[in-house]
Amino acid sequence: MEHGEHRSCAYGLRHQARCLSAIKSTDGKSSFIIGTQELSRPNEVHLLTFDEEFFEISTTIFSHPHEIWDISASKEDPDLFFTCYREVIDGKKTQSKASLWRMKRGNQEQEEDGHEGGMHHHQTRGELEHVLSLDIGDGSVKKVIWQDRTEVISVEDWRICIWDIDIKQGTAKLTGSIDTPDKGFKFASAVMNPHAQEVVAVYGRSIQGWNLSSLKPTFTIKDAQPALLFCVDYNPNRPFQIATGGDDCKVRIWDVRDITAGPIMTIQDHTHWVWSVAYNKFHDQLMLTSSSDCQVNLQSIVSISTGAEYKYEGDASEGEQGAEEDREQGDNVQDPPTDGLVQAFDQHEDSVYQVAWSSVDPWLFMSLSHDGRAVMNQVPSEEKFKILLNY
Amino acid sequence: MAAGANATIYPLEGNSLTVPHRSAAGNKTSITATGTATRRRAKSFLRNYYGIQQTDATNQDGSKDSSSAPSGPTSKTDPYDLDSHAFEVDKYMHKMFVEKQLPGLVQADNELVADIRQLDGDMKTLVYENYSKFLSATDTINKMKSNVDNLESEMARLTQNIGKIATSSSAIHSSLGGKREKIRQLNGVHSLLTKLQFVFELPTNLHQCLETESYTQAVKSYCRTLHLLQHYKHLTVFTGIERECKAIMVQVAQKIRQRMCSDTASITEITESVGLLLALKEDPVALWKQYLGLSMSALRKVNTKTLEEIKNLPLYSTPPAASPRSAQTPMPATPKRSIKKSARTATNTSASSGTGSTEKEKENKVKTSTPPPADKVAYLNAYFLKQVEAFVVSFMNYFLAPTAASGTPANSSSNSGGMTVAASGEEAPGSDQRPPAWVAKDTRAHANVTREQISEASTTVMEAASNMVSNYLDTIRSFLDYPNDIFSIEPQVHVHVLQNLYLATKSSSGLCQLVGFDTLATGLIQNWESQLIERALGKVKEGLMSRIVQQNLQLARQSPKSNNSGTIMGDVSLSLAEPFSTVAATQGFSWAIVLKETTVWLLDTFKVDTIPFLEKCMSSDAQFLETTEGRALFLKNFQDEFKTFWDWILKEMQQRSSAIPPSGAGSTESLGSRTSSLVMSQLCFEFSTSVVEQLYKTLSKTLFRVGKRNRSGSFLIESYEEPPVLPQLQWDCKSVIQVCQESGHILLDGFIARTGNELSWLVMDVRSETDFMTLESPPTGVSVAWETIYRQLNEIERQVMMVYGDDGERLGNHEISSESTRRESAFRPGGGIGGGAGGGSHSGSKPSHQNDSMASFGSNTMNSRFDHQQRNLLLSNIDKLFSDRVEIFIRCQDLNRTGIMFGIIKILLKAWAESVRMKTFGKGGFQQVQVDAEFAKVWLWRFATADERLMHSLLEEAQQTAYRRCIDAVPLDTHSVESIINSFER
Repeated sequence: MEHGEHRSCAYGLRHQARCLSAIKSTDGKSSFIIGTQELSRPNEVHLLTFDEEFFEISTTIFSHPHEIWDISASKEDPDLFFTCYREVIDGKKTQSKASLWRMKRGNQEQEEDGHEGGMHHHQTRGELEHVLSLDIGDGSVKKVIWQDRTEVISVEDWRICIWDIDIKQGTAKLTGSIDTPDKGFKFASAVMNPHAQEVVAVYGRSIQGWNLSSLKPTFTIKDAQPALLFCVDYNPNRPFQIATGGDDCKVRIWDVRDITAGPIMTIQDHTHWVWSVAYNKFHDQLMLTSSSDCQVNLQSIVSISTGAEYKYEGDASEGEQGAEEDREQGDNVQDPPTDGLVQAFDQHEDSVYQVAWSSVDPWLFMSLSHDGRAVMNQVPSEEKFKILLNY
Repeated sequence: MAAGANATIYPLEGNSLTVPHRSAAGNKTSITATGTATRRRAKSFLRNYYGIQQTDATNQDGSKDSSSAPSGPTSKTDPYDLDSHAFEVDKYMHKMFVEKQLPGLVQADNELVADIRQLDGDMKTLVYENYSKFLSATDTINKMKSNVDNLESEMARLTQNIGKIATSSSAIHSSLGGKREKIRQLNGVHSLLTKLQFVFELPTNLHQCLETESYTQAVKSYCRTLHLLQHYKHLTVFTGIERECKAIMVQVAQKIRQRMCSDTASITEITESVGLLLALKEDPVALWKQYLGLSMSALRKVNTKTLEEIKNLPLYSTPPAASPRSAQTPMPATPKRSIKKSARTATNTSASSGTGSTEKEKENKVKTSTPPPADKVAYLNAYFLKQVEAFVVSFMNYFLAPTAASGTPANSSSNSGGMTVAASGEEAPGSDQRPPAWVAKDTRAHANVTREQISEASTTVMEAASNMVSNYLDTIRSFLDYPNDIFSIEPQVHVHVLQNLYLATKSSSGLCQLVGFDTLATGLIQNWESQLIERALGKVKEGLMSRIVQQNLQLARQSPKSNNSGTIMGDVSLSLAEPFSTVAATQGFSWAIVLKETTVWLLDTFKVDTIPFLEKCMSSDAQFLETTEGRALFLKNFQDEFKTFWDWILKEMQQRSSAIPPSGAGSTESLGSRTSSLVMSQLCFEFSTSVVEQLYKTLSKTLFRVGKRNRSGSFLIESYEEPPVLPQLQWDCKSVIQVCQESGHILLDGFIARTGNELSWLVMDVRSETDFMTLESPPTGVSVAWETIYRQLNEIERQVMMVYGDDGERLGNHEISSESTRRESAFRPGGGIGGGAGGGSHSGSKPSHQNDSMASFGSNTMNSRFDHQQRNLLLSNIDKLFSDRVEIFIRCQDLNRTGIMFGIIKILLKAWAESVRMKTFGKGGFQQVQVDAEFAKVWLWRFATADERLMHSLLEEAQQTAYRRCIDAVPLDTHSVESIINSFER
């Protein structure tokens, strides 16, 4: 545990890891799960729960049979999560799999963890119960995305599959699939549109959306950038706005209704590839980006966020934001938030492949670097006050 | 007397100077005689002389003495001091006798005698002088006395005479008083009678006027008497006359109206008629409407007629000359003078308009006094614009003047109103038809036009007039054409047209006032200027861009054709057979030379084409450029355009650069198009370092040169010392330089990132063509991707060196050159690996770039390296902790081969390290990575001379990761790795 000026809290996994997911916890504490990625060593899933009162992280460790490439917690049930993992068969080839697991937090054996500077972690062990597996076949699955309790989407190299799952029965049924439009490029990542039945995926240099029921493309941004795209996220509060990152170090934000106009914003504060981009679910003017330059950046994109609509509600393009706040309120004490880098967090020493906001606390987030260090950080309080007082 | 006293002091004081000497001589013991003592003594002498030593003087003396007593005790009380009051002869004598020998006594005696004699003489002189003065004073007083006596008697006589005059004057006054009043009355009666006579004769007069058609006279007479008639309405005689007059005037008005409405009526006639009608108190609203309508149709007629007439006239009146130079010489004289003359005549006639000569005569005068304008614009101005102006001015005077004169509508005194009319008339020298003062006066006197009506009238007329003016300006505009080749324009023609326009604005103040004619015209001129400048600069830009494209083509053609055969080098000296590359064919070919040529070309274009062209435009006889603000405007215009010109070029370059389609994973064709960014970036840097400043310097001494430009055309006086950039250009110059530099960086970084990415995609195996799980072990050679990368890196380096030049940092045996032979030898690892192969430790063979980053491994064998993986991981983690954060995609600061190549290598290696993490390796796959890493170490290090440490740590990381991501890692030993790498070239 480290107490920086912004009160950050670090946790070392002692394994390499590249995936992280926020858990929809019920007890009000921010929780994250991390899956380790060790080819030839036993792998684990770490459940990190952050106790704000004592400002510390307690962990529950579960054994996982194979190296985990992606992890995805259910949006409703705090105990359920999918992992995408690879199994080595006969030392010759790997088999990609995706399974749903249930955490069983049972035995309360406490361990002292002296690894991170002698700080104390409450560490317990638990067991994973295998619920079901998606029948991927020979494909290589990179990501599972929850649509709701009964529907998930798996992203493979060359296709995206839609599955109906029945958790009680432990069955999964393939209901549809989308093939990559460009045979030259694999799917890199995908995200659900939280406002509609749509999945948005990035492959190569392009972005494309598909309607989930008709499986027809909704929009295509061909050659969105000169380089490859790695990640995508959908604005949770504002339809039609997505953010992408890739190997040109830039984060681009698009309005998918007008793709010819190019990105509505381009941010370049990283000096290497952008691996992860995440909108804050509560305040979509805050965006996290992580990169293999070992940095996590907290960006403010207030001018194109729903926050801007409150401020200038006259020229808001979407009408769905009904709430209107007293304009005077914003003018008294604090300067309004402005666009730009809020803070760069450089506690990591290796590439940061994933970053995630807490699902409970709007100001808390966790980032995970490849060397297995997970760092919990908070939005700087000045920025917090700016947002709170102005909107 | 006082003056006399003053005068006498001086000789005394002159004497007093001798006193100290004497006392000192006589009294050697008391040498305390200081300056003050001397003065005091002199004073006392004077006091004695004038006898004023008593009372205050003594007091003063006493007080002074008491204070100075200690310093000079002997001065006052010394009985031995000759000059002292306390002098005692006996004591002195005694002392003398005691102290001195006979000769001394004799000498003292002699001195005393001499002194006494001198004093005596002085005294006598003084007395004499003062006495003579006293005598002359007495004379003067006597004279004065006799004069005063005389004066008194004169005065008495004077008083007496004046008294007499006063009485007679009052007598005259009283006797004449009665008649004065009578005379005054008679005078009044006389004038009244004259007026009455005029009134009684009025009907007859008016009749006469009606018959002779001199309506003006009629109206004038009528208006003059109107108020009289009104005043004496109650008298029947006057009523009769008034009635009679009115009847006549109705006739007159009718006649006037007829004349006005006739088809052939000219603007002048219409205007005159309207003025008369107005004076007859016709309804002004109806009148102005009619006036407007009539004038507009007349003007339209004039317009079409004039346009018809000018069709055959030349745009520019000088005979077409063979050479522009000979055209220039006669040009300034004729048209300009004629214009000026006509303007002057206009002024003269307008000034004389008050004298009453009719309008027609004046027009004739104008026509006859100047030869008919020989070119289109002048003709148009003379026959159309002047009419419009005349109409507008009279309209304003008739109907709009009250508002124009002052804010108060009707109650402004008629006097001041008349003044303004006169003033505005003088302001508009071109207006011949200024209404006579009396008309204007009357108009205003009965100003029953409301404000609303006035404003309505003004808007309507404004509309009509702006229509006319815009028509006119369109015509003018149609005379100016901009051919594709802007330099082929004859600037004199354009300038002449605009010159006429400018003069027209100067002489049509009415239009200027009403519709802002001058602003419109200035706008047109401005537009012409910016068009000219823009086109001129656009031409340069075009040339530059096409040059860049062409050069890029050459560069691309230069690149070796990608030969898919096993030889990696390709034939570098290859396609130099192309005819263009006379420069390139030489061994030390440098693209920098070609770039230099481009910049020189740019400079030359400016010097030879653009600037002279604009200079020519400016230096021709254009009055609108002659004025300081006109010139300043032109220059400002140019300055702005010149700045945009740069922005334009840079933007275009960036666009071109980013428009290059992203190629597939590093295909060789892409290399050609990619280099355009490189070339353009270097060009930008070239601009920023010298070209921009040079150009601004050139501008400073040409276009922007202060003072009179010499018209001979020798604009480029090559002076030896470069003049500094003018202050008003300095800011621009700096910002342009900055912008150039910035774009250079953007272009270069774009090139680096693009190249780096394209190479990265090769190594990242984006299309996953290789299955690292099943690669056979041991690997047979370096992977294809790395071979391609190496080949491309060499090619890129060659291009970078061609463009950016060689920074000379390369090590001898790795030197790369366009010579294939050298290349061949460079490919052999300079004895390094060959010799080191036996030694078993490659670190010894490349001492220059191996030690530091490899320190953790030292001479360990490969096996032990991976056995100690855990420890090494820790070490490298610690290493990372203390090393600076590595920034991969950052601005390239070293604008040379090393910096650029290292930028690319960084991107490539980091991408590799990242991509290895995404893969899972089998035994063969891992060994392949090992071999590739070693290959990179051996062959790529020379691209990474900027920071070999970083390169090694990245390569190490890739290997470590591959080891961790390998199912059954069995590292190859050093020998096998080296033998594989050595086999690569064979």
